Amino acid sequence: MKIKEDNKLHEIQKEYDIIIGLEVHIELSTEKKLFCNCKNEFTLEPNKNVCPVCLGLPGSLPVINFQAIEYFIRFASALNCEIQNHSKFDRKNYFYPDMPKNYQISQYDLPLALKGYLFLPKANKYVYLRRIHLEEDTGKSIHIGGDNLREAHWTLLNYNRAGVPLIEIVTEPVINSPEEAVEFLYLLRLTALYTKISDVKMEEGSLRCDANISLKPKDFQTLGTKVEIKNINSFRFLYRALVYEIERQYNLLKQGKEIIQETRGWDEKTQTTYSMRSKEESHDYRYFPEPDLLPLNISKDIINNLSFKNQTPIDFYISYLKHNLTHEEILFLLDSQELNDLYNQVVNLVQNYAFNNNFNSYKEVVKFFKTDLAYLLNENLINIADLSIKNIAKIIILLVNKEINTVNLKDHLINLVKKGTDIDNYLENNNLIIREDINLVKEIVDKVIRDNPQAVKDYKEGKEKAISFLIGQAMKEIKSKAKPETVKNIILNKLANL
Amino acid sequence: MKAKDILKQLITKKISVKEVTQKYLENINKKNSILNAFITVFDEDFINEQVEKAQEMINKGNLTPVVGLPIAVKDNINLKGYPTTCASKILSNYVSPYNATVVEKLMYSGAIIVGKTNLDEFAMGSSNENSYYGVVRNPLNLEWVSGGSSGGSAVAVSADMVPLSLGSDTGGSIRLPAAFTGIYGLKPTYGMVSRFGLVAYASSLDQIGPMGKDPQDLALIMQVIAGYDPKDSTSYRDITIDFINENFEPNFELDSLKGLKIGVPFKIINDEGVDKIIRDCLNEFINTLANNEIEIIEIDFPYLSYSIPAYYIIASSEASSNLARYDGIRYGLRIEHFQDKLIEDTRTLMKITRGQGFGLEVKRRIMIGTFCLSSGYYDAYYKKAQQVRTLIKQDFQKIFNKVDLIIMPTSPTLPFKIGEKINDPIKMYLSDIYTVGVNLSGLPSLNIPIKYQDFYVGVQLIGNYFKEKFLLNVANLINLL
Ligand SMILES: [Zn+2]
Repeated sequence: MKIKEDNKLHEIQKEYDIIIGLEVHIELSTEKKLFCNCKNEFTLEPNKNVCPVCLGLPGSLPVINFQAIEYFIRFASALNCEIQNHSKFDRKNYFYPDMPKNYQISQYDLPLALKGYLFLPKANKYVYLRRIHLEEDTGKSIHIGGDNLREAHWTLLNYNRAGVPLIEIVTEPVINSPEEAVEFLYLLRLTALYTKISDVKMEEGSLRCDANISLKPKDFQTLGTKVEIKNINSFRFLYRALVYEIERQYNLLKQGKEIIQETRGWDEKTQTTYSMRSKEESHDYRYFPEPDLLPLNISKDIINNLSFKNQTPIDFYISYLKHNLTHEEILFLLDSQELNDLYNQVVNLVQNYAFNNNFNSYKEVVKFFKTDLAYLLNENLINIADLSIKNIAKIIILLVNKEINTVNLKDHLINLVKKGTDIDNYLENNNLIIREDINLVKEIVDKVIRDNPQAVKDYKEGKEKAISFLIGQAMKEIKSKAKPETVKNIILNKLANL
Repeated sequence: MKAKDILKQLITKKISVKEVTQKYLENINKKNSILNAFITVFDEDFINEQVEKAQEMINKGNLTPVVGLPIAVKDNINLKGYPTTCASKILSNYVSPYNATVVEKLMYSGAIIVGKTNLDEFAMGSSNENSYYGVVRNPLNLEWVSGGSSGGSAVAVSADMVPLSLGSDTGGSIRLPAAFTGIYGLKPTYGMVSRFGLVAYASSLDQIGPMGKDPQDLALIMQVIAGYDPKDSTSYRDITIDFINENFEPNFELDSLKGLKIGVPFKIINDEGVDKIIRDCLNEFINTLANNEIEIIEIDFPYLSYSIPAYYIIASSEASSNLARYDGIRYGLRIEHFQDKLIEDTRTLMKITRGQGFGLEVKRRIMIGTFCLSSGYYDAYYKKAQQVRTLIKQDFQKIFNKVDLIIMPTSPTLPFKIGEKINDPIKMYLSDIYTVGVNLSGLPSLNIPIKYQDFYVGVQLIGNYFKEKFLLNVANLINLL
């Protein structure tokens, strides 16, 4: 989520407040669908996971899957929401072929969670939430020979997704820049991952986002006309669409033109937004209470029991700031919950030693993670689950103390870090531990100086590089019998006394 | 013959399941072409399969309250592998891939389900004239309507085509045709019988119930179909009623009506809008009760006059949403050509299919319901109707603080002639004036037939929640008066 700052936006922000609100949909990764016993899984075989209920066959009835409520409460509590003891489901009525009943079971005036907030550490602000509710997902349409239902020659329908539990998170219009919007969505995604409610894969559609954007002149009290951008499915798309839309609205306002309240889509090819429908064309959803389901009454005790009690990504972020990690380092760790867990476990082991020896364990662990470990993981040479926390901690301490032979470390790394390796034996057997033998070093250094008169001459004439050559020659023979610093000091000493 | 007597003969092996079934199938063959009670009569193979299974159960002593009893099921209740048409063109080619819970229970208990009965399209109607499969005729007089919407199920019992049937009651659809055809029809407490597999008309009002010729017969089938169903969130989890004992006799607690307090709305009974025959019949009936040491208490329903508008708003609103799924996309009728041209646009296909697939009354209610739920009208119609619903519920609860049950007419009129009201929907809707309040409140209610002069008059017994066994008990004792 590295995003370039946009200079034009700074200009616009001098005159206008940018006002953005997001509506985010996240598919829950429950075992079964929301109202039937069909498997909730991503599969390539169309219409595999369907039954009378999620196909809306005549006479079928929905029954709530309590696991979806559990997931919902875990997530909403991690976002500091007020989870409601009393809520209900409503029908949202509109006709579309991928919606089997031609209504969607959703929540209207009594959502399961209200309020809540997410802190954005980089922007250093709170984004307040209006509500979170639970609803069923629709099926998928694949239009052939056109972009939409009207233009297509054929439309293929896949109901595997129909009835999958979906939560909708609605923010207050308090996001003031595309960067903030991206940071919010990124951290919201992490929160879903850390509460284990979803795989939040944007490319598979398990995380989707709509954005409302308006510009408010600095000296005005009332908000400007808002425009909605639909079906955002990547962070890059979110950022670009917002920048484009802000500039489009700014240009219209500068020309004295009116902003039309409408829904717009993003065209990836032209990198522009286009009008999908105006306010007049918008649906009347004719919400009314779902008579096939009882109202949801959930006691305080159940809500407390199901609430998320571990550290959220934001909690981690804030504690890592105290450890002097940079924004990039923190995001590197948080991006994978497994990696973050590993990091914390390794830090735990290293910490005592670091305290006594006066080094920043956090920085050192991150350094190892970002270089050596990242290499192994990026190349898929090993899984996080197969890593030994103890071995990694040991290597980091040896690295800090420069007690490990780094020359061939890369070749041994995978064996060193994996579970089941007896690290002490391994280091020993492969001569990786540096044990200094000063007499031997002195002998070898004497020999090297004798055998390389030209290098010695060069050094004497002020060519600093010659020293590296001499160290290199000496290390070839010294191997793990001394740290490079020690060798260097001895060589310098000898040369000075020549 | 009554179901309870057939059951006795089956259990004592005086008669075989095959003989019983044969006799009723013969009646169906003889009468259905005139009465039009059945939309589908099952094939011999399927019926024989059920007969063999039932006979085997009996032979093994594996007895149930419905084993070997021929039963007809309203054609808005799903039975796997056979059509569920709802008497609509739009589902005329639809075959259900699954069983309704009530069907599952009946088949498991060895009942012989012989066919699917005619109804008003999607159960919307009071006369069974709104059927894509034609009007159902009343066996008491072929020029009369059967009443609706469970007209086929009522006629099937009344004309001895089956001893028992299942109907569904959203605003009186079991009780009214029972009244018009002179039989018993029970609308159970909402949530007593699973709705899973019943094609929804108005979900918050629909309830499946039995029809038969004796209160004890209804107890037999209720024992099988009532009870919690995990597939229906609105079915009651914590209530079980034992309608019968281990000898398959009704588990009735009362052996006399003496001392019962019965509420009677005399204002209604003596209303000019009620047929004179019904008025006279009810007054005489109530006198008989009073003479048997039953306490008659006058009651009043302040909100009853609002029940018809409240009912039609709520039922139509829910229907407009429930029937949205019939669009020609996934199953059922699909109209692909219009005026000899292939329809190219999906939305047009949906519109034309719905336009041609639904009958007039169904369209009328979809439009009323869509309007009532529209933004700007919701508060004035749907929300107001729900408030009225609450008031009507309270009316009933106040009355049940004072009385054990309520007696009133099922219908303000005797059966009318086919065609008489079909063009006057308001008049037709008023047929339900005494029945819809029960659905709005979720209460149980039983139609009992009282023979008066040359007519059967339908009298409605209404009890408090979960009092259906009590109602059958009272009806049984009334028979003995
Ligand atoms: Zn399903």
